[in-house]
Amino acid sequence: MWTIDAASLPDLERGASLLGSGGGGQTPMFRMLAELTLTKRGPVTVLEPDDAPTGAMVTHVGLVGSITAFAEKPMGGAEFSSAFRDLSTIRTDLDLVAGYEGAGANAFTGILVAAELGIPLLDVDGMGRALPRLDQTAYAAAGLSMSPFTLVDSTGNTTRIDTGSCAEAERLLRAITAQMGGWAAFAGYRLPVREARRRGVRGSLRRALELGAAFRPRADLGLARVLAETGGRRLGSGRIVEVQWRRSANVGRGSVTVRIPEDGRHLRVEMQSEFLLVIDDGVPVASTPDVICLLDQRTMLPVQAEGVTAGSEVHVVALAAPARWLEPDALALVCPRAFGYSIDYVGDHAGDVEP
Amino acid sequence: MTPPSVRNLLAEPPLADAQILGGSGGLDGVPRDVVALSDGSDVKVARGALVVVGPMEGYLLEILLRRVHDQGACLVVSCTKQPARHLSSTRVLADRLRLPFVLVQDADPLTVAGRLWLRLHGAQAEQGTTLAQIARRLRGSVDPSSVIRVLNRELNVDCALLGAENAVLAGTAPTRQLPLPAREGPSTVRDASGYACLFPIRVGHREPPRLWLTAESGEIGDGRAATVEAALAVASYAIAAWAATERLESDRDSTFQSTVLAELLAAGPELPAQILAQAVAAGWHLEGWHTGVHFRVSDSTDLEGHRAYTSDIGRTLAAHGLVGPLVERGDGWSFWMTEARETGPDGVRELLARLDRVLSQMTEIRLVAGVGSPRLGARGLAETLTEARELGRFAGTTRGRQRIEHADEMGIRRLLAAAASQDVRARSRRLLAPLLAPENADLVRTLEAYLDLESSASSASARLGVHRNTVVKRLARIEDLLGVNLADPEVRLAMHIACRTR
Repeated sequence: MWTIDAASLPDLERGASLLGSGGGGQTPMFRMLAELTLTKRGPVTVLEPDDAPTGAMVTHVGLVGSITAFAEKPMGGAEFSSAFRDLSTIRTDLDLVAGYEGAGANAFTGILVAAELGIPLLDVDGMGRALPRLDQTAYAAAGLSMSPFTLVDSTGNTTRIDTGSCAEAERLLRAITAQMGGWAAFAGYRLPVREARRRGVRGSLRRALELGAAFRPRADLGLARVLAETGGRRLGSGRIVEVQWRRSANVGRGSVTVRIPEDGRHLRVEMQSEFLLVIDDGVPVASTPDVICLLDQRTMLPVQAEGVTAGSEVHVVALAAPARWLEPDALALVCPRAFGYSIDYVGDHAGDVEP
Repeated sequence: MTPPSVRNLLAEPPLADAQILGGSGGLDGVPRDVVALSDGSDVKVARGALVVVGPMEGYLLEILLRRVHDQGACLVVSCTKQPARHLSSTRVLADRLRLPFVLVQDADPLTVAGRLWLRLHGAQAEQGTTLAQIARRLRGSVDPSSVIRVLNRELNVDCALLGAENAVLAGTAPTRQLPLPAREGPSTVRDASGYACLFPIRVGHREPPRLWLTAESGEIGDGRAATVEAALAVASYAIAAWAATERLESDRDSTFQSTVLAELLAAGPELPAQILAQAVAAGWHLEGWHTGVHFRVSDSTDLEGHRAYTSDIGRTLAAHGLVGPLVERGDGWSFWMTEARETGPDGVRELLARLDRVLSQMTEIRLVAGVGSPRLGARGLAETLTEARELGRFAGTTRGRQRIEHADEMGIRRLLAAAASQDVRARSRRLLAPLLAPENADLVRTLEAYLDLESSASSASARLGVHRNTVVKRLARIEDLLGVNLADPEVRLAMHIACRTR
C-alpha cells in the first residue's frame, strides 16, 4: 500500500507519456485535473494487487474516444465517477477502482475517481501501455468480459451497454462515443480482484512513476545511464528525414525515417496511433508490444506519433513490453500482425515467446 | 555465351524503362535465376537470384531487400500498377547493400519475371526441349541409320557415323576431312565453311574409340553448338548400345556355329537329328552340293589374335560374290558354298579365281586356302570341309608353294593328303631328325628344292640363289647326316614325302 499525491504527478506524467509509445493522448490537461483534485481531497491510497481484499470487485475507468476532442470540449465535472458509480452502487465498501489503460492521459483517470469517491486505487490495468482499441486488453485476451459497461458524456448522458464479445462492445462503443461528442467517460471490465490479479497488467502506475523519475530533467541526464536504469534499448539517434502518412481503411498508417549520422544508415519507424515497428538497415529490430519511443534529444521527452515532424533530432528507444503481453494467450492481440504488419514480434524477449 | 549482367538487363526490355531507385554499386552482378515473390516474409532465394516483386509496403520491401541481399540476390525489381513513393530509407538501404533496386511502372510482376527468365534461360530451355525430343525419338532407333536420321531432323545439321579411316557407316560423308581424335571427349572445328563436331564413341573398356559421330553445319552460334554437342552425347549412348549388341550377337553366333560344325564333322555317317536341328538354327542348308574352303594364316599360329578378322574375311568374300557360312575353327576358318547342282570344272575355276582375288585383297594377314571338291548333302559337307582343311595344309606363301590348294580331278592331292597321316608325319620327322636342328635349316630347304625341281642341282641353286657347287656340297652333307643315297629313286620318293609332311 502506498499513496499518490500532487507532488508525484510530474514523474507520473513523464512515465505515462513514455508508456504511451507515441500514443495515449496529451497528458497535461489530465495531470492538471489530477493536481486540482488531489490538492482538494488529499492523497490517494494505492493497493498492490496482492494487498487487495480477495472478495472485492474492481471496475476499470478511462476516457474513450479522442483526447483532442476532450481538449476542445472539456469535462463538466465528475463524469468518470458517475460512470464508475453506475456500475457499483450496490456494494460500495468492497469496490475498488483502476484505470483500464495505465499509460498516457488515462493513467490519471483512476486517480480522479479514487480521490473523488475516497476509495482505494488498485495498481492493475488492462494494457500497461497505450493501445488504440478497448478490446485490446489483457482481460479480453483471457476471455473476460468488458460488459456491462457505462459511458457518460460531458452533459451527464449515461449509457449502459451489456453485450457478449469485447469486439462487439468496441464497435458499439465507437458509434456511441461519436454521438456523445467524440469522447466519453468509460467504466467497465468490472472484475473480481482475483481475476484482475491473474489476468491484468500489474504495477503500471509504479512503473510509470519509476520511469518518470529516471527521466527527470537534470543537468547530467544521459541516455545511456537512463536506459541502463530502466532496461531500455537505444536503437539509434539521429535526425528525422521524412514523415509519411498514408490513408488506409480504418486508421492512418505512417512511416518515419531517421538518418543515423555515424554511418548514414536510416531507421524506419512504422506508426499508427503509436510507434509499432522499427526496421534498421532492412532488419526489424523492435516491435509492439515493446514500448517504442522517439525522445526529443534536447528535452528527453517523448514525441507523439501524431506530432512527429521532419527535422527534429530524436533518440529511438525501445522499452520492454509489459510482461503480461508476452504470455501465449495475449501476444496475438498486440503483436505486429494485430496491426496489419506481416511480421512476428521482434524484441528483447522475442525468443522467450512461444509461437 | 556470356550471361547478361544487371547493367545489360537494365538496357533492354522489359527493364529498359525501369527507374533505378538505389544500389547502383551492384550493377555488374550477373543474375543466374529469376524468382517472383508475392510476399517478403520467409523468402528463400538462390545465390545470384533476380527477384521480382509486386506492389509491397515499404517496410516489407526493406525487409525483403535485406533478406535477399544476405542470400546473394543481385537485383530486385518492383512492379507496380500505380506510381509508388518510396522513402529515402529504402533507397539508402539499397545503396548500402549495393543491391540494385529498380521500379517498373504499370507492369505485371509475373509477366516481367517470365520475360526475364526467358532472357536468362532461353537457350537452355531450347536445348532441354531439343534433347528431350531426341531422347524420345531415339527410343525406337535400333541401328545407326535411324539414329543419324533423328539427329539430322531434330538438329537440322548433317550427321554421320564414321568408322576407322573415315569409313562412313551411316549418314552421308562429311564434306571436310576430319581428323579422327583417339582421345575422349568431343572436338569441334570452326572454319570458313562453318562448324563441325566430332564425338568419339568407345564400346569396350580400355579400348580406344572405334566409332565417331560427326555433325556438320554452316556457321552457328555457341548456344546451338552446345546443343549439338549435347545431342551427340545423347546419341552416342544409342550408338554404343547398338555396337555392343552387335558384338555380343556375333560372339554368340560364332561360338555356336563353331560348336555345331565341330559336332557335324565329328559325327559318323548317320547324323543325329539334334545336330541337323542345330545346323538349321545356324542358318545352314545341308541339302545340295557343297564346296568347302579352309582358310588359315600361313605364317602364324596365333589364331586368337586373328579372330578380329572374321568379319573382314566375310565381307571380302561377299564382296566377291562368295556367299556362305564362315565358321571359326581351331586353326583357321571353314567356309562353304551350297548349290542345287554339282559345280562343274568351270565353276570350280571361277571359284578359285575369286578366292585368289580375295586372298590378294586381305593384305593385313597372309591367308592361304584349301578348296575341297563339291560333295552332296550333310555327309558331303563334312567330307568337302575335311578335304579342304587337309589341302590347306599344303598351301603356303613361300616360293614353291601355292596359296590355294584345291582337289584336282585326278585326285593326286587327295592321295598325298591321304599319305599325310599322323603316323606318316611322325615317321617323316624321325627320318629327317638330323636335319631339323635350327642350324641345318639351309639343308632342309636345299633338299626340298632339289627334289621339287626334278633332282636338278642347277635348278635348285637358281631357286635358292646360291652357287651350284654349294648345292652339291650340301647334298653330300645331307646324305652323310641321314646315311642315305639320293641317287636311289625310292630314297628320293621317301625323302620327298617326308619333306612335304614333316
